[in-house]
Parts: sequence; structure tokens; C-alpha cells
Amino acid sequence: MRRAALNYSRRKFLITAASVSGGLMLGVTLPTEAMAASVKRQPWGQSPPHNSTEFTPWITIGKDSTVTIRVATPDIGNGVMTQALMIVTEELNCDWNNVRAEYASPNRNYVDGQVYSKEMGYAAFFARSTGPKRVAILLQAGASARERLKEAAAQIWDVPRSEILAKDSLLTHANTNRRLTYGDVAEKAGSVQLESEPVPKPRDEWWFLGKANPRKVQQPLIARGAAVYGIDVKVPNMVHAALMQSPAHGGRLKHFDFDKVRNMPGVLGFAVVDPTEQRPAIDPKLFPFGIEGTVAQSGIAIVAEHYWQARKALDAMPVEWEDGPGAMGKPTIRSIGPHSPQWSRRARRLRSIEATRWSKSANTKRSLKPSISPHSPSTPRWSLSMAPRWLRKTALTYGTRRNRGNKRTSLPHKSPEWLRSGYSSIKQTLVAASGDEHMATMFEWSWPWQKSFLDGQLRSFGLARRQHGRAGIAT
Amino acid sequence: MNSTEVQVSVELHVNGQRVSVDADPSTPLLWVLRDHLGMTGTKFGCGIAQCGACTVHIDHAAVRSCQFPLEAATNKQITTIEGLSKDGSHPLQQVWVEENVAQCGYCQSGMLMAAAALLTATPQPTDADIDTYVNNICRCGTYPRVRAAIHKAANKIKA
Repeated sequence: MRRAALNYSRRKFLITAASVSGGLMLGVTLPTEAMAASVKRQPWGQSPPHNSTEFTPWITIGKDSTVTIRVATPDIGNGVMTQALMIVTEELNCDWNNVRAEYASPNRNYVDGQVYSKEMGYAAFFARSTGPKRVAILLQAGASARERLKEAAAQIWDVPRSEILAKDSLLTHANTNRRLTYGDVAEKAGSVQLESEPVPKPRDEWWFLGKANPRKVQQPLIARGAAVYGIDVKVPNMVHAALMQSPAHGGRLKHFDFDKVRNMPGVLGFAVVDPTEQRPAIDPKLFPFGIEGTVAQSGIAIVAEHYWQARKALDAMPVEWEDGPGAMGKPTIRSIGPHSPQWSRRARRLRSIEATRWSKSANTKRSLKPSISPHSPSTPRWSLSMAPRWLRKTALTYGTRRNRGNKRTSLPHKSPEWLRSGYSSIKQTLVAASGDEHMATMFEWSWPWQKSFLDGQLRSFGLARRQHGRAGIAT
Repeated sequence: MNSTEVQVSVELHVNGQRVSVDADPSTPLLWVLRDHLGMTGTKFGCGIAQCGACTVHIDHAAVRSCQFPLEAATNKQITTIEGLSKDGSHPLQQVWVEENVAQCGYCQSGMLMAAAALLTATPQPTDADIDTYVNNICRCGTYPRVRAAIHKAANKIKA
């Protein structure tokens, strides 16, 4: 990346690509949240947290019996944090109201002998986030910590470890009616070496997993807008960048005139993303699925004090692109648009089917006719994520050109080339799901049974497709 | 550089507090809140007033702040997710947690603000009202839970 330092006075900065909205929750905070498992604000904490003892890189226990569990994969809404807490709780027998999650530090993994990735490889940080391997790792970590706590209490009381019961973050010796909390013995237990590691209990003896149904631990933070996503991270002296990339895949930046915008408010500099720039090789173990074909795309960014300043300057700056081969293919509109021979022949037939179907419908609200309301979104609020699972699978199957022999996912043999190509199919399915008239028509042409099936599915969920004109602010 | 590219000091009322912001008057309110005032609860989604992730209240009405210029927000009461309640005690926030509404949660600040404005205007909304007013987009597809939670919160407020 080429950077032009102008007046940003050599300070450290992190460019946040605010043009990409973050979908990952990085961390959340709730020091005051009472009576619930919770999550920590920082993307990852210092190790070990203050006033606590680390049992394994996955588990620390504080003097107040707070159990902190490190989670290596981002929780993208699939509940991996809650799941990790539950798995450890199953074996550690700790108080669910006093467990919390924090993200495991990839940096620590790097400098500290791959403590998080030794069992799963780098996949520990990005893949199989709810996979059985993780269950095994965390059950073992929980069981091991529990036995060390019991051993520490056994040494304090001078009784056999087997006589001690660990439950709800309490260690009890029933014969002598003595009790200690996990926090009381955590420090001592941290240095206990077990002669042999305990074996986690069999699945049919689980008391918590598969039985308890706690809400996801991030909920209180999300409801208060306090969850921290990638786009929300702040670092000291942070500045912002707005990025523009080549409009054609593989295109090159031909010319830009930064001088035209350098005096705009807040503008600090520019950065060029040059695909030909030599980059350090990436450890192939990081990406076992291969990223050799992945190349940086040519881009130009403006760096400014605030995002909107960068964005305005970027919009105002003269930029020229050399499209290259990426723009030489047949334009999509000619392949699938209303002027292509396939389109007009099929579309004519289909429109008549459409007209018949919708005119027979008693519910005129479901007409596909768009009506424009000044406040309404231009497309109906309907996304592929609401589509039935098989349809999503269909899109993916087509997208990877893998036909698994399933009748539903097999492509019509007579489909034109654009339909056979993975990208078009995904796109087609997506726009079809969005309810756009042209695309929906096309969709029906490809898979005539799908749309009615889809509507049926939605009705069974108590949903109707939201159409043009129904959205918006009525007064 | 033309005359619109100027920084001016603008007074705003955000969550009951008076704040002063130095920014171009055409800056979308979203970026003023997130970037200048550091209130990142309000999210950037599409930037073109379609998805609703940036929804805030301006004089108690739900507005998509990514298309609402700073200059239009002066002398108006702005409420963000951070100001919906001090401690997450708004009935909607409570129900959101109870009902496990959010998945990834990115759109939910906007969803909550839209729902809160709806309940202010229509204390007992129908499903159709919810579809009409709370037309925010959720990629995780939490719509059925959002709808159920709004009904539950409406009943909670009524009780």
C-alpha cells in the first residue's frame, strides 16, 4: 500500500474501513449485569485477568469465583459464546450466574506455543465454531479444573478428594460439613498437578447440556446498544478511511488527483491499494482451503479525521480506472436482460402465467405490481435468510457448481450458460428471493414450483412476503 | 473547495444532553453520533436509508439517521439506543432479552428504536402495524421474534 503522509503528523493510526459495515461482534461489556452469565468488553483480556488464576488457557477462576472462559471463534449470532460457557459449566459444575466469556487472543496463541490451536489447528479461530471437537476440548478443560479445585480443598481439609462434592461453585465435604468456594481455593488449585486427568462424564449423565436453555449471553448488551462490533472498535488517535475499488474485477487505478481534495476539511492523506505490490507470503496452514487465487483489488482510499470527511473527499476526487479484461465479458444485462432471445421467449410465456396466477389471487396485496411510496424501501424487505433451508442450500449448491444428485438441486439441462454458472445462480436466487419482479419472473421460469412452495413455507411461519408499498411510514 | 465544505459548530440535544459538534452541516447524523460523539450503538448498515440499522428518534419519531443531515437536527430532541433507557429498563429492551430476540444483534439497535417509536404512536399495534412501521432489515431473520417481542412489550406496558 502506498501512503502519502500529509498532515497526519506521524501519529499511529489504524485505518478503519468504515465503508464496510462490521457484522462480527468483537466484545461486549456489562460490569453491572447481575445474575447472568455475561461477556467481556475487550476483544480479549489480559492474561490472566486481575485477581484470578488461570487453570488452562481456556479457563480462569477469580477470587470471587467468577469463571472466565475464552472463546476462540467470533460469535456471529450462532451462540458460540453461550455454548462454550455451557460446555465448561457442565463439567466444572460452576454457578451459571457467575461465568463469563471473553475472546481468546490470537496474539497469545502465536507467542505462547499455540495454546488455543494445538488441538484444532488455526481452525480454532475461524472454523467449526460449534463442532464436536470444541465440546471435547472444553469438557476436558472443565473436568480438569474441577478436579484440581477438589484436590486443593482436599489438601486444605486433609480428606480424600473423592469425598468432596463440587457443585454451584461450592466445594463441600459433607462428612464434616465444611465448605469452600471455588474462589477460595482457586489460587492453590492453579498449581495443583493431577496424577491423571479426569475423564469427562458420558453424555447421558449430562445435567446441564441439552437440558438448560439459557438465553444468549450477549442479549442484554445488544438490547442496550453496548455490544462492540468490528465497526465500533476505537483505538487511540484513530482516523478513518473511505475506500473506492475498481468497478471491474481486476481493473487498475489509472489516475487520480489528490490535489483537488487535499484541502478539504479533515483530509489527512490517501492510500493506494496496488495489487502488484509484493506482499509477505501467507502461512498456508492459515488457509487450508487455499487462497492462491485471491488477489488484492486495485483501490484508492482517502484518510481523514472523520469518516464522512473521507467519504466526501473521495467522492469529490477525480478518479479514472482502467477496466481491463474484467469488463470485457458479455454484460450481464445482455445475457439475462429483457433483450436477450432466451429472456423474451420465456418471459412472454411466463408473464401470462404470472398474470393468471395473481389475478386469481383473492389477496390483491400480494400483487407483484410495485407502487412507490416516498418513505418505502425500493425493494421489499425479504431476504434469502428467511428462505427455507433447502433454498439456501440450493443457492449454495449452485454457487459451488456441486450437484449432489438431489432432484431439487439439479439444474434444468436446458438452462442457458449464465444459469449454469455459479455466480449467476446465486445472484438469481438472491434477487428472486428479494421479490424483484423481473427476477421473480425469471426465477419462476427456472424453477416453476419454487415460488408457490416458498409462499407456502412463509405462510406456515406466519409471514407474508412484504411487497412494495407496504413498507414505509404511514401517518 | 466550495462553500458547502465548511466546518461549523452545531448544538444538538442528544439523549437529554446538550452537545456541540464541529462538522460539515451536511454530515449525516449517523456519523455525527458514531464518529464525532462516539456513540456507536447506532449502526451503519446500508447508508441509503433502506435497512434501518441507523434508526434513531428525532422528536420521538423514528428516523434513519444515515440520510438525515446534521443541519436538520438542530433544535430537535435526538434519542439514540443509548438513551432509550439509562439501564436497559425500557420494556422493549427487557422483552428483547427475555425473548432472546437478537441473533448477531447488529440490526437490533435500529429495530428497537423503530419498535419504541411504534409503541409510542400505537400502544397496541397489530401485525400489520409492525410490518409497516418496523420495516428494518435483519439478515439473521429475527422478524418473528421481533414481532412477538413487540406484542409482549405492548401488553407489558398496558398491564
